[in-house]
Amino acid sequence: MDFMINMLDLRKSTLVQNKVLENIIREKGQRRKDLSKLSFKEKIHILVQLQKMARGVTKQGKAKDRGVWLI
Amino acid sequence: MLRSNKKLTECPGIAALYYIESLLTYDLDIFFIPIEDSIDVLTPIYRYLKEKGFKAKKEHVLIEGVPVQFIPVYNDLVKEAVQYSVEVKYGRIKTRVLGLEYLIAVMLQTYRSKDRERLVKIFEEAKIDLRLLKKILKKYGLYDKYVRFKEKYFGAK
Repeated sequence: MDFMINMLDLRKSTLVQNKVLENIIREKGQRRKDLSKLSFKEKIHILVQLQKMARGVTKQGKAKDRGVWLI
Repeated sequence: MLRSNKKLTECPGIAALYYIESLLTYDLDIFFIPIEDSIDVLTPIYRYLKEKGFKAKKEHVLIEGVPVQFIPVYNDLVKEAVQYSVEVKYGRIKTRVLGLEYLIAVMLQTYRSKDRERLVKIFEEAKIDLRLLKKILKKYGLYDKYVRFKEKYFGAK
């Protein structure tokens, strides 16, 4: 009986987790859509920020070709 | 050469960024239709830019801190894509990018790993004129490839 109860609890918690994951995935998708609607200039600004962030993790030898845009 | 050429269009990387969220890229490629039939259409451009003080770095020219590469249209699809490119604004500056449906067709044709990655994002985030896309893909023999791509990444036809 205990085992059954535990299984039910587990199933419920899995369902809750799935719901949470579903929400997270949906919200992430929505955020990407929102970001895709930004102006071209704002997107270029984000791109430059990404280049700055990536600078620290660039593989050796690749860094020379992967500079941050000076705009 | 460039001043008299009205069809300069930003290539897939930055063009994709116009339609979807920002993705990491490091260069700005420009497609153009040469106004003269010549084997070497790039030398006059690079010479002109060098005279203006811009430095070359491998295949790129550094313009205002951005590595720019000029690419002459290399097949009929790319040529048509440039002809039908759309005018967009970067702040107050007018520029041109490939139309979304042509951009998809060009990326399906090149189909590098980064093209596939961008295509997935485009199909998730952008509003696509599917009738126009189908027409372009059929014209350039890319429709079957498109169907396979959709099946692989979206499990649908």
